[in-house]
This record gives sequence, C-alpha cells and structure tokens, in this order.
Amino acid sequence: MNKLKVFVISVVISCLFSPTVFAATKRGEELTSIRVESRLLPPNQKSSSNIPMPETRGEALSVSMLDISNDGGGVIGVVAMTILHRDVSWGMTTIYLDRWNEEKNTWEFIEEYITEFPSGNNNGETTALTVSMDITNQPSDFYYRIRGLHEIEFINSSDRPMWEGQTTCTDGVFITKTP
Amino acid sequence: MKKASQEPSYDNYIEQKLQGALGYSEEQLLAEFEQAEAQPEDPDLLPPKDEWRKLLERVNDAEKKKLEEHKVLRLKRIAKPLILVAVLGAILVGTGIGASGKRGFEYWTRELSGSGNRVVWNNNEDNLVRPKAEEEAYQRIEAELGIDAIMFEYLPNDTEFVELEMEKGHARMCFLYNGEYIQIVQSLYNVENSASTTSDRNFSFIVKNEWISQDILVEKNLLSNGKIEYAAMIKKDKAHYYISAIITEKEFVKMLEKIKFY
Repeated sequence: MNKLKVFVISVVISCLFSPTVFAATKRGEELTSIRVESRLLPPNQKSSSNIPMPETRGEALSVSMLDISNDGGGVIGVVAMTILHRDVSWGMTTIYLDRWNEEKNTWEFIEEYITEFPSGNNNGETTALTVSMDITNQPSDFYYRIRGLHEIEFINSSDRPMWEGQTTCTDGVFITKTP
Repeated sequence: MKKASQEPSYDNYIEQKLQGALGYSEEQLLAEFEQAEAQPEDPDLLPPKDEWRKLLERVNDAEKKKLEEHKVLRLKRIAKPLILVAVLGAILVGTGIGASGKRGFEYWTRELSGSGNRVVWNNNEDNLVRPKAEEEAYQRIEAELGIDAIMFEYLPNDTEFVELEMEKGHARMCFLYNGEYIQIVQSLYNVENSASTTSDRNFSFIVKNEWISQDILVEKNLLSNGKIEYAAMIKKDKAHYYISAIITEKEFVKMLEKIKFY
C-alpha cells in the first residue's frame, strides 16, 4: 500500500470519527407546518396569544410566546418572545404569516419574517429574544394567524455546542380597516 | 528498475531521430565527419545551413514530448485520490458554512421576502432599559400597560435585577440568580380565548398566595441538563403573568407566596 493510499484512508477515517463542532440548524417547514390547525376567533376579539408549555424544556430556552393583534387600520401587530434561562451565543425568530382562505377552507402561507440575534445584544448579554413589528401591507377583512419558530444556539455546561428550538402558533384574528 | 529500463529506449529514440533528421546513422555520421576533415575544401561535403540549430530543436522537441508523457502518467495515477480528497473537502466545508457567519456583535434584522418599508420593526433601544431600581420598572409597567403590575416581595439573596423590556402590551423583567435568569412576563392580553396555553394541565403543585388571593399552579420541568425549572402562570382580569426560574423548590415557593400587586 503506497503512502498516498494510506494518507487518503487516514483522512477518511479521521473525518468519520471527528466530533461535530457546530449545532445543526433545522429549518421551519420541518418544525412548523401550514397544516397546523387554528381556530377563527370572533371578530370582536382583537388579539391571540400562544404560550405553549411543553413538559420538557431546554437547557437555555425556557418558553416562547407569540401574539397577533388587530391594531386597526389594517395593521397586523406581532410580538414574539423567546424567554431564556441563560445567555446564548445566537438566536433566530422566524414568523410565518398565514391568511385564511374561506373558499378553500384552509390556511395559506403569505410571507415569512426572520430576525437574527447574533452573539450578545447591545448590553452584551442576551436574556430573551424579542421581536415586535407591524405588518402593514396585507389586505384587510381577512383572518390572519402567525406561526413562530424560535431557535437558539449556545455552549452547554459540558462545553458542547447545542441547538434548541420551539414552535408557536396563534389562533386566527380578523384584521379590520377600522381602528 | 523501471527507470533503468527506460534509459536505453530513450537513447535509441534520440538516435532514431538523428538518423531521421539527417539521413545518417551514428557510424555513417562519424565516417562522414572524418572524411570531411580529410577534405575540408570540398563544397559538396559541407553541412547544410542551420544544421546544428535544427538538430538541437529536434532533440529538444523529443525531450519535451518525453517529459509531457511522464506528467500525464503522474496525473492519471493520482487523479482518483485527488478527486476523493476534493469531494471530502467539499463535504466538510459545505456542512460547516451554516454555523459560521452567524457570529457577530451587532443586532440586525432582515426581511427575506418582499421589499420596501412595509414592515415596521418596533425593536429599539428605548424598549430595553435598566432602571435604577425595580420600583421604576413596576411603575412603568402600570403606566404603559394599564394593568396591575406584579412585584416580588421576596427574592433570594444575591439576586440582581438585570433589565426591563417593554414591547406592545408585554413587559418582561429579568433577574440574575446563581448564574441563571429569573424571568417574569406581564402581559396585557387575555389568554383565555386564545391558542393553547397548557399551564393548567401540567402543573405539579399549588402555592396559595393571600396577597393576590390566588392559588397559583406551579409547573416543575426537568431540563435536558438535569436541572429543574419552576414556572407559574397567573391570570387576573384581562392580564396574565408568567414567572420562570431555575432555583430550589423552597425558594420558588417562597417567591410565589410573597408576590403582590404593586
């Protein structure tokens, strides 16, 4: 066996057994789906909140919250919070906007909004990942709901890189032109 | 061994080329030169013009061809291992890209689809403040959300107030204790008619609080690192409050027992 073959085989073996040094990032459609069911709230109910409380929690991710509100004038108000136990090195919140199609009796995906939180916030420590926005470009007099994907990466107590994620989904809120 | 066996054929090759170029064998050439030496004045026996240049060029060409053949052979021998190494390298580099490039020290947002100023991002530094005292935080929550702010009458020693964050009907207060956060979110919105909030289902025990006249349901959650997180949700009128901490059960119960409205 010549030296080159030995070298190539060594490289292959070292690749197979070397530890992964970064956490895998799963993407939205694997974790939250348009097929998730949501109720249509009465038009007089201006907002919907979702705070899922699974029995198993993350080492760094405590709980996620997602709110949609009819802010009037066709504005869809959105707040997403990812509450943490500890500082994290990276985080991302993806919000998927769905509109109710009354003819087909189903939710239709409209748009996604991504907010990334690189290492540390302005204070040098990340205690939560919060996204707050007004969506102003969608037609009124439709039901809308939002789905959230809350992701974080951090180094755990065993000095290993970890990924944790949680999904949220609100009920449908009727968005009106009137205040 | 291979190298030694190639050398005679190389010499023969040059010899053949010389014979092809000049029409003489080595022996004939030698004889011709000797004859020319003897009769230098005979013009018919003079060598053609540029004879040596042509001869050198042909020899050089022959050597170049020989070298190129060697190069091709070498490349063919190592082509497969090279491709294998290249593929492995591409796989390793390709899978590593996702994690790199996400590091940085700036806060930024991006909108993937659509364009223009259609989404108004409300996050700004004014929403994230560090009041001098918790008192200011409670006051601001009541003033801006219009709800009764919940406050901790008791927190364990060495608990540090980190920050208050206000966003569209929500106020989040964060404390640091023993290297981990104690979080309390106070929200204006009603959760009764909203999407699933399953705190009532998974509770472990109840804490009675006389100040706010409520039985508070407490969740006990085992984390992936073996630690225990305690969490509780309190509802009052249209507001709801969520508290979570990684702390001893005794301390968490004491905190909840002494919660009151500001």
